[in-house]
Order: sequence, then structure tokens, then C-alpha cells
Amino acid sequence: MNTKTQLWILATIVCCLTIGTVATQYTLMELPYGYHGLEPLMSEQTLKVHHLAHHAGYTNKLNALLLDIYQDQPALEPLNVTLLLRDPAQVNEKYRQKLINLGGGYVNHNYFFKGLAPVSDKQEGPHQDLQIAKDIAQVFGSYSEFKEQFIQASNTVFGSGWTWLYYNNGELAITTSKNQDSVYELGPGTFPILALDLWEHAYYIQHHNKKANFIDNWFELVNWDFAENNLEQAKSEIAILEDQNANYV
Amino acid sequence: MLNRVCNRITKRKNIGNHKIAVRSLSSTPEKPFSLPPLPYDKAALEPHISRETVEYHYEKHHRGYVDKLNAITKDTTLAQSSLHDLVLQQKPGTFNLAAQTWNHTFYWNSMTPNGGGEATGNIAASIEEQFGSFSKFKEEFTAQAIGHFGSGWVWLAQNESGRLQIVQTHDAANPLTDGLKPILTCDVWEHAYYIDYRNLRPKYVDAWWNLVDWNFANAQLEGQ
Repeated sequence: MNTKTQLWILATIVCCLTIGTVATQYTLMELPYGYHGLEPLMSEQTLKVHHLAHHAGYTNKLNALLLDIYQDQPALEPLNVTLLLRDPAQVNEKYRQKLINLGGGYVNHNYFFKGLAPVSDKQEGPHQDLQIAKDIAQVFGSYSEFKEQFIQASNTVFGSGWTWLYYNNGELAITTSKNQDSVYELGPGTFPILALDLWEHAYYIQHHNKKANFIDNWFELVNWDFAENNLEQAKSEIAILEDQNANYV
Repeated sequence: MLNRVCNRITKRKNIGNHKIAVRSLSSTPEKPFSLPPLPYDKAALEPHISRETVEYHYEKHHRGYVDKLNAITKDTTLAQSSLHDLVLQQKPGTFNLAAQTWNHTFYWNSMTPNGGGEATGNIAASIEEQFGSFSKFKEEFTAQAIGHFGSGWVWLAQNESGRLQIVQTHDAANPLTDGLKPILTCDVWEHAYYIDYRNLRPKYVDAWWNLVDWNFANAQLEGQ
């Protein structure tokens, strides 16, 4: 057997071994709009630190944690992190809270960043043709009533947390969560639609203590196409939750 | 005049911990709770904590809590309570405001310009005895300050038996409600460090160690 053949065999063996032992790891999403794309409502500095420090930090720490979890409980390895978040009790206690914190941090920020879009000449709020516009009107009365309730909910968040528009077993609803807790922990049949990050790091660079200004700006940046997509998926209960390879969020 | 002001400030710092942020002589029925003056100039904690941070932290966050507490207690019996009692009562609606008012005053007093270094006085001996060494204590406190997830505070506190404990609390929570005596605190809400250190809380905690007021800590040990 010549050297070239030997090398090919070696390479094939290494490949097979690698594929057989690659653990589920997650990647940091890219911002579709870049760091300048949301100015002036959300500054470049804010996006850079929020994405490259906080979100990246959660991504890296989650991946490291998952390696520990998979070693401890190999059966969990094929499960998407959102499935782990839906039922954190399946994770051994020594890693459970960390999974909620880091897994939640990773997923929540995906929803936050994907839920933003540059302001064009579009009016604030979902286009009337979107299903979500109709569902919002049906559940809340109107977009402005929805906005009012969402702001009220946001004002109840003390310390670090989030406000969510989510799909709860057949109906749109608003809720809040502490720290990096996610909508998934509310039980089966819950799907995030939109996420508003109310940790101080989301607004301190640009607004300091003026959370209300940040929230106001956020409404102008909401990516209603993303929300529409999430609603559609929630409604049809697409099994993206089982598909680990889909970069769905 | 400056002397009298300085004496008043010093006196306030040496009062037993639960008397921190008592209603000052300037309290009125409309404003039963007042914002105590900072023990130092806003720029005095530089380069560790910037003037800009102190400006926002004191004038917006701390003052904001005081103003909201006054608004919510105005014309109620709660206005007659001491801040300390409001904290202990843990009533929803007033607890967060009262505790954050109390916590921030304690935080400003836990620091002093040109403070820091190793512990001195009685507390140094207690730390040595109970943690093994000052550096072990510092390591443990730092780990908890960095590791605290979300908003909150890290405290050096003393229990009823006199034992020192490092305690983490979430959001506005305070060791008083667990029957502990606070000795020192470090604010780990993001607003405490975001202007100066962005997400780098470890750098902020490192800087905080340069400001620790061991005289204040010793005074808390001695107080009621």
C-alpha cells in the first residue's frame, strides 16, 4: 500500500471518528442588518457589545456547558436546546440552572436580534395583510392596545428580564420572564413570537436609565415578518424543535 | 461650615448599619424619605468608577428610588416607618423601592476614595480567622460577585453568632430580611458598571476592591 493510499485511509478513519463523536454545538447568528443597520434607533455601539459580547458569551458558554451535559447524560445530546428548555427537569440538577441561564440566554437573544429590522418607510406595527395583524386585533382589540399592554408588562419587569409576545396553546398572549428564563418553560404548546430584552445591557449605552425610550424605539424596529413566520410555525407546530440542524432561530 | 458638613457625613457613616439613610432633617410630609448626600465628590472614585457613572447611578437610579418611594408612601401610614422597617416588612410595591434606597446608600458608604487594600482593624482578624486569609476571602467574594446571574448585590454580612458570610442577593433583596447584619456591599446590577466596563463585570469588581472602606466595615461590626 503506497503512502497516498495510507493517508486517504487515515483521513477517512479520522473523519468517521469525528462525525461519530461531534456533539451538538450552536453558532452565533450574524446580524442580518449589520451593526449600523438599525441606526439611529439602536446604535452601532449597542449592537456590537450586545451581539459580540453578551450573545457571543452565551453561545460559547452554552456550548461548553452542553459538552458537560452530554458527557453526564448522553441521551440528551440529540435534543435541540429548546427541547431541554421546555423540560429542564430532564437535565441533572447540577447543570439544570446553568442550562436555563445559558440556553435561555442563547435562544432569547436569537429571538431578540432576529426580531429587529431596519426602519424603512414602513409604518410602525404589522402590515394589515399579515395574519399576525389580524390575530393581534382579535386578541387585544387593536395594535395600539397591544402596544399599551406590552409596555405595561415591560414596566413590571424589575431587574433583569424580558417581555414576550408568544403563542400560548392557540392564542397570542403577552408575558414576562426573569433573567434568561424563556417562554418554553411555561409548558407545552408555547412558542415565542417576539422578544424584548429588558436587561440593562440592552439599553444602557444609548439610553442610560431611560428604559422607556428604549422600549419606544424597539416598537419601531420590530420585524413583523419574523413574527408572522413564528406565528405560522407555532400554528402548524412544525417540528423544527426536533430538527437540530435547522438554523431556525 | 464645611467642617460641620464633614462631621455630619462622618457621623452618618459611623452610625449602626440599620440607621443608614435615616430621614434627614430635611424630610417633610411630602418627602418622608430623603436621598443622603454622597460621602465624597462624584469624581472622587476615579479612575475606578467614573464621575459619569456616579452621576447616573446616584442622580438617576438612587434618587429615582427615593422619589418613587416618597410618591408611593405619601399620605399613608408607611410614611411614618423608618426605611429599615420598610425593608423588613417586605410589602410588595414598597419593598423594591425601600430596599434599593437602603442598598444604594450602603453601597456608597462601602467605598471611599483611596480606600481598598487589605482589610484593617477588627474585621481583618475576623476575615483571617474565618476565611483563612484575606486573599482567600477576596477570591471567594470576587467569585460570587462575578458569578451572580442577573441583577443583584454581593454582601459581606455577619450572622447573629458573629460569623461572617458572603451573601448574594437578587434584584433589591438585602440580607437584613434574613436576620444578617450587612458589613459591605458591591452592586452588580449592570447599571453599576456598564458605562465604565460594559459587560466586563470582573474588571469592575477588580476596581471595586481599590475602593473598599474598611473603616466603614469595622463600624458596621461594632454597631447595633
